[in-house]
Amino acid sequence: MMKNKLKDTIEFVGLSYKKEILKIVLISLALLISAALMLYFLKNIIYTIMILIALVVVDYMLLTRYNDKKKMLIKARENELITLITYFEVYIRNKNNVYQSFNLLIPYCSSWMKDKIETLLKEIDSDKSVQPFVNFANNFEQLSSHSLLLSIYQMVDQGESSEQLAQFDVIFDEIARNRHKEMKEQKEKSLSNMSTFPLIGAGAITVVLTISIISVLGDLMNVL
Amino acid sequence: MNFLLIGVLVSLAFAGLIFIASENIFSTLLILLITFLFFVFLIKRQLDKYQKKTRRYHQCYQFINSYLISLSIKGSLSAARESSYGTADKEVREVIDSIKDLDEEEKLSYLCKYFKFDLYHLFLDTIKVWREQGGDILLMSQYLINQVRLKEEYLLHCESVHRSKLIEFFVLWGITLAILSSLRFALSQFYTRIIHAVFFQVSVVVLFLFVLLSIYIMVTRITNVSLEGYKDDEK
Repeated sequence: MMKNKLKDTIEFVGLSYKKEILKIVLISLALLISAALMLYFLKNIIYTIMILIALVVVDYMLLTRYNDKKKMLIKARENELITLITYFEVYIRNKNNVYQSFNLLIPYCSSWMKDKIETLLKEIDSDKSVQPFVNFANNFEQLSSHSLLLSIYQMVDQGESSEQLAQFDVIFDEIARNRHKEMKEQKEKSLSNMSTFPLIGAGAITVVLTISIISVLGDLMNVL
Repeated sequence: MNFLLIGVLVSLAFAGLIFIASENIFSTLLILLITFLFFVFLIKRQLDKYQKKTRRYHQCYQFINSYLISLSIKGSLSAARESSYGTADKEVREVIDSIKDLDEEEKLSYLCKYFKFDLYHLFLDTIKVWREQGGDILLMSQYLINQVRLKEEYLLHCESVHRSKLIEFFVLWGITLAILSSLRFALSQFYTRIIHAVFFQVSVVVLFLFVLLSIYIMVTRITNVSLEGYKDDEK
């Protein structure tokens, strides 16, 4: 179950499951061998324990990074959708219909999004119901993406009337405003986290000094 | 901003601090060299690219706004171009001057090599529709202008956050490193024993490398500003 989840996550971010597992195993083995050599040749327990702690930390970081990457990818795709809908709005206001507007978005898309929009356009060709829009919206987790695409479908269904455009504007404006606010908050948050580095540095200085003082005291005691 | 000079000053400051902390000329020279190379080859390049990107966006924002407003008043592409030329900075004027021989539409299309943003392409598409179908350009470009303005606002917000967070970051590191070097005087004779330990010497060098790593992460986060369509490797 857990293996399948990890495999799904690794494949979702576009990496090879086998290669990634091999990489983790090799790194872990290298650290384990270093720890064993440290213990066997130098008989230094402190350094061995430090390497083993490093092994646990490295493995944890390696295993959790796929999930982080997945979250970032999902977020990036949702952000791309909002950006594209911004462009869509410009096109729809410039007298293009929904189909043409989606077509005009293709040069601005990432390869993943391009593939999804092309599928949407193909599905619209053969199916005039809401289904192609629902299928497209299912590629995104945010509920707002679904309501946005449903409102685009209503525009198609009811002939891009000014009333439908106004309804679309209301939904879009709210999503765009939220995204804008979120982007600003994200920027502030990512930079606020940086103040932990000097604190870690101060902590490290304290630890290093404590160890150094204790070892000097130990040496003095031995002399006495 | 002269990042090279900042690099030299930071390298010298780090070298001074590590010498006070470790009294080891080898560690001092190592950190001096690493810090200098780090600023020249990593930080300076990253910040130069970022400055170029944001400067281009500010220019693009100003150009689009001025062009569309002039176009709505004067109703001709050449008059709008002349007006936006008047408000553009020296760099943009030089680019426009270099394409004097092209016609108005070609000039606008050529500028997408300079303003490599998706929003500029949208601007070109809007101008094309206006040329073909006519209409009120301000009404047609209302959403485009909104988006360009929102992005500009976002950039200005980022610049203000960067300033305050950078000050906070360097003040905190300054205090931390000041503590390290002041311990030498606080612990006096005891300190002379500590600095002979290999563990302490290595730890001090590692600490300074950690400072450099944190500066790199900070700069990466600062320069990570999304401007759709623009790629950092572009000239």
